[in-house]
This record gives sequence, structure tokens and C-alpha cells, in this order.
Amino acid sequence: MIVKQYLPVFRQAFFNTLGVSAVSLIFAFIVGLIGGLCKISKNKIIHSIVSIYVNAIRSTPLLAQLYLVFFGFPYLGIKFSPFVTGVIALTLNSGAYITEIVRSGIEAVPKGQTEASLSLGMNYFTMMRRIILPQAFVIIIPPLVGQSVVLIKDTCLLSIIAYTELTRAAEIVVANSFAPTEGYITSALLYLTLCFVLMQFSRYLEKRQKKA
Amino acid sequence: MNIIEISQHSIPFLVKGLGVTAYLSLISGVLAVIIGVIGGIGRGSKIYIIRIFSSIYVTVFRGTPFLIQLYVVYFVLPSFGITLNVLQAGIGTLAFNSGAYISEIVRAGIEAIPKEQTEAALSLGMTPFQKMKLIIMPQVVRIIIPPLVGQLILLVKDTSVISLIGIFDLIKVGRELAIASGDNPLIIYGWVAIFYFVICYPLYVFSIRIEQRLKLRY
Repeated sequence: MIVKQYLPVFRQAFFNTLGVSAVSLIFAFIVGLIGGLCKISKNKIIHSIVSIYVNAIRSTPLLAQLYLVFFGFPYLGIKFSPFVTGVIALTLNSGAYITEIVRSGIEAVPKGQTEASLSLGMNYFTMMRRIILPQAFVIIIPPLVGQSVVLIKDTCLLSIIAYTELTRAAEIVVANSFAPTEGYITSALLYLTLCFVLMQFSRYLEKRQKKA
Repeated sequence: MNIIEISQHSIPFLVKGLGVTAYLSLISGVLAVIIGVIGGIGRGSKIYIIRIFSSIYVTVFRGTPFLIQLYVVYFVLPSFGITLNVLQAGIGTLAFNSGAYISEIVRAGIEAIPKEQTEAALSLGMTPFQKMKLIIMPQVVRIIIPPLVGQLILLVKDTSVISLIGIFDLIKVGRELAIASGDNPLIIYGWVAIFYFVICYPLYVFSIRIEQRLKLRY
């Protein structure tokens, strides 16, 4: 009954979760693509800057990063809405992991491909765009889907900066109705549905890749 | 206060928080490995019910965020007569959460061992338990150590989420300090991040080293 009564809240929160995940994923992919290309760069400075970024992000919890952005930035005079704060934190966080995914994907493309395209007279960008990245992309799709599952689950931390996603919706419902079972279990089931579909998709892709 | 004063004031508190974080990580890490090994063996079991049960466990815990699991354990279970304190709820949930991921790692490790090893062990007259203990597991351990260390790093970072139900770990201490002092929160959160970095980064280096060493061996 309570679930039915608060259905609009959950529906709104579900789409908010999807929205913030999708926007962050797109930005994180851009960051990861650039980061991955920089990580394999022969330029030592570019390589070390990206390495520092990746190690710094991977070695600190998302919650700490979120606190830094949400409570630290206003002190510098920059104030964002919860949505933008969430997108910034999630983009920086997932971007670091996607950087590593992209790097390993590019490195998994055989060296012969690079040599062949260079000996055909292609420049670096043509080679990356037409030869290396299309092949790397096929390799990285399954881990990328896996990372998007992680990202969706990470959006739950946005509840602490008052962005109304599924966890926050559950908190609101619980606060209004004193029914923790209905509130939290409904949210958990919605997350589970979302992630389960993506996890099956990732497994399907992996299986198809192994066959090929 | 300037940067040095704020740091001098807050670091002793943060060190205490670091101790709590280390304690949470250690206990839940050990429990998670135990749960993960049981779960991983269960996923490859011949008995249908065990297989289905461990598969449901892994899917549910991997398919929902840790924070929601924590809320369910801490706020929902009391309605069913199971009341846990913050510490029990935090450590237990984290152990079961990481245990699900470790189950997958262990399962993948067991599947990576050639079938002939099982057949040889059984034809030598070993019991299934002896086979696991003497033949399969020693080989699995070597394969799974790098991803296992990676998972334990995630576990250390996930302890920060437990602060949201009220444990005074590293990040919670930082949060309270930032609120109480009203000073530049960037410095305090910066220190919090550095403290986490000091625990997690050596673990990353360790996992990469081990991975390279195992690669050389084969």
C-alpha cells in the first residue's frame, strides 16, 4: 500500500538515477578515452599526470571525493547544484577506472596493427581513429558495461548531498511513513532490476566475444 | 587558522579515525574472504540447491549498492526481530558485500584449473574435500591473489560508507572536524583523502608486483 502511495516518488527517483548515471557515464567515457590515450603516450609528463590522477582517484573512496567537491568547492566560491556536484564527482571517479579500461583495451590490440598502419603512411590520429580504437572498442565493451553497473550503484551516495535518487527516495518514504521495510526494499529491488539487466548484457557480450 | 595549525589540530583525531577504519577493514576483510571461498565453492557445487542459493546471494549483493544493503540491514532487519548495533551491521554487511565479489573471483579461479586435475585427484582415490584442499585450492590461490587484493582495496574504500550509519571512522571524523571548526574544509578533506591513499596505494603496488611475479613464473 505504502509503495503504491509513494509510487510517483520512486518513479521520479528511478529516472533521476538513470539520468545522473547516463550523463556521468558519457562524461566519464570521454575522460577515460582521453586518459587512456595519454596513458599510452610516450611523453613522460603527460603519462605521469594521468597516472597520478588515476592512482589518486582509485586510492580514495568516492565518499571522500564527494565531500571534497560538495563541501570544499563552495569554500573556493564555486557552488554547484546537487546534480552537477554528483556528475562531477562520478565523472572524475569513473573516468579514472575507464582510463585503465581504455588503456588495457588499446594495449590488447596487436602491435602489428600499429606497425602496419604506420608503414602505410598514416599519421597518429588516422591510425587511432580508423585502426586501433575500433578494435580496442570491441574489447573494452564488456568491462565498460561492468563499470556502468558500478557507476549506477555509486549514485546511491548522491543521497547524502540531497539529490533525489533511489536511496534518497527511500529515505523520504521512510521519514514520511515510518515503513523502512517497504521504502528500502523497493529501492533495493529497483537497483537490482537495473543492475541485473546490465550484468546479463555484459555476460552475453563476453560470451559472444569468446566465440568470435 | 592557517593550513599548518588546522593540520596540527586535526591530524591526531584523524589518526584515531584511521585506526577505526583499519579495524573495520581488517575484520570484514577476513570474514569476506571466508564467505567468498565458501560462496565460490558453492557456485560450482553439484548440489542444485547450494548452487542456486549461492548464485542468488551473489546476484543480490552485486546488484544492489552497498549503502542500500547497509540501510536494509540496519533499519529493516529490526522489524523482523534482528537488531544489530552499528558495528555489527557495518562489518557484517561489508563482509557479505565483498564476499559476493570474492565468490565470483574464487569461482573464476576454480574454473581456470584444468579439468584433468580434478579427474586425476579423484582417480587417485581422494575424497572431494581432499581434492579441494590438496589439489585445487593451492593452485587457485595463486591465480586469485591479484584480483583478491584489488577487491580488498575496494573493501577498505567501502568502509567509508559505514560512516553514514554513524561509525566514527576516518571520514566521519573528518566530516565532524570540518563541521566543528568551520574552517577551510578542503584542508581537512584533503588530509582524509591522503590518509586513505596511504592505505590503498601500497596495496595497489603490491597487487601489481604479485601479478608480474606470477606472470614470470609461468
